[in-house]
Amino acid sequence: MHTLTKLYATKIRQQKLVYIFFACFFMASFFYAFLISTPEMEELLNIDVEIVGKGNFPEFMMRFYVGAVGILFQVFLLTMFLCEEDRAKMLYQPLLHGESRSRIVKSKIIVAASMSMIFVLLTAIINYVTAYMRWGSQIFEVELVMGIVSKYILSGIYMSCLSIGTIALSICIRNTWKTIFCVIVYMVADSFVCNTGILFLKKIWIGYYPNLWTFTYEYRSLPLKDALAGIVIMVLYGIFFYQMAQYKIKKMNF
Amino acid sequence: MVIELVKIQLKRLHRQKLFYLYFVVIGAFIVSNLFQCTGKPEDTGMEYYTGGRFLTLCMQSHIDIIGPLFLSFISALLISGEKATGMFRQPLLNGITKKQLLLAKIISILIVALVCFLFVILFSIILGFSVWGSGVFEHMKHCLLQIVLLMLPQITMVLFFVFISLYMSNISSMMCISLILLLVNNLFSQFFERYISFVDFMYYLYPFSEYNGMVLSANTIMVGVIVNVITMLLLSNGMIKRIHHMAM
Repeated sequence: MHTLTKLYATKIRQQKLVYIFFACFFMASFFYAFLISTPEMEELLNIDVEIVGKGNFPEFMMRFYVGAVGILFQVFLLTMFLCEEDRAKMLYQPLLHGESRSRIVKSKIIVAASMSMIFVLLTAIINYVTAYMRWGSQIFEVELVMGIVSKYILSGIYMSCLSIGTIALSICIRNTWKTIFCVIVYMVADSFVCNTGILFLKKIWIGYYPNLWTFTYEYRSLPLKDALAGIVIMVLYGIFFYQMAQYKIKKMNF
Repeated sequence: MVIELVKIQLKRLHRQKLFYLYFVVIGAFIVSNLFQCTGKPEDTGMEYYTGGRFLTLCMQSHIDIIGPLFLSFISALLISGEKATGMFRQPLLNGITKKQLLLAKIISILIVALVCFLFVILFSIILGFSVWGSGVFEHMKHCLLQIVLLMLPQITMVLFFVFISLYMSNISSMMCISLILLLVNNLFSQFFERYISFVDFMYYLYPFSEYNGMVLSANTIMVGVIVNVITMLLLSNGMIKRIHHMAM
């Protein structure tokens, strides 16, 4: 691993907020696993524990991260990682040590994309641990586990693409709140596009596929065709964001 | 002095695009609520919120997560953001005391909170009136009680966000902390309302708006008011101590 990548990875690892967030997520998952079985909770949350419990519990909990919460948490971290560094005049420091602009962006993107994927997988582990504590080994039904884990991996790809997009956006805008503003606009646009009837627009929209995987195929196996279509679109978006970030950093006036 | 400072803060906020984005976002939520209530409300389980209770539904959308997150953002922008750029201490050079500075910040954020809340109320009444006519005023007495009650936890929430902002060094970390706190509050409010209701002022955003069919009883109102007033006093004391010891 490149030294700069290691350095950026250490920076993310040292953020106490990450540990606090996942401790809270574990707590939420734990309470959901143990308390949703009560009739009052079933009524309050409008759920049927026979459907969302046991083996399906990790999939039920996935939507709590791969959505507004996860995206917002990620964008807050990444703006701290890039915009605040830029404001503190730390972003160009590696240039003084012989690193190229392209290398800086590459390292940032590698760390951001890996971070997003690890966070999604971490939520999967947390949800499986709490589900195991609640229902025991009956949650491990091979076919079901494979289906849910593949949905987590696909969601990880989506979150990684968004993090690359956030990096590109941060480099273009160079302002914390404006970057957060743009991501909120994306989230609002996403809910509108996903509810629109224009199929072509949906098919080329990055946010449509996680919506499809999470809600349309909820508790069902995902057809390979839809999974592949989503991956292709996301990879294309990822490449576009990466190229945009590389182009913008070359034009950046430190 | 304080009024001048408040005017400057508000002018600054007036120029922020985010301020207008909030109106667009909450406006979209209110319109979406209206569609749910006017289509086939029995299919979406929204028949309870048609007519006179539409305002209650819109207030619930406001206090759920958008409103608190927006207020935390405004606090982050006016306090943590200014601290990060070194602008927070600038008014002190013009003879303003630390307490006056803090007061001006709190008043500005309170005005923003009030404007946002009024927007939600007026916009939902106008939209509701266009669909149900005078039926939208059917439960106005009850809605007025909810409006007055909801002001209290919102004021406490503003003080709480200002308090946290004083400790945070940049906008991102403030937003991260706010997001985590809102999630934890939401979680505890769902599962431990019996215990949390004696200490958590934010919990009262839910019963005061009768969220998810929660019952608004005289006992809830009384405990809610007491918890909020005590929290306000504690936060005010904490803020004064913090600003007094803060290195500018």
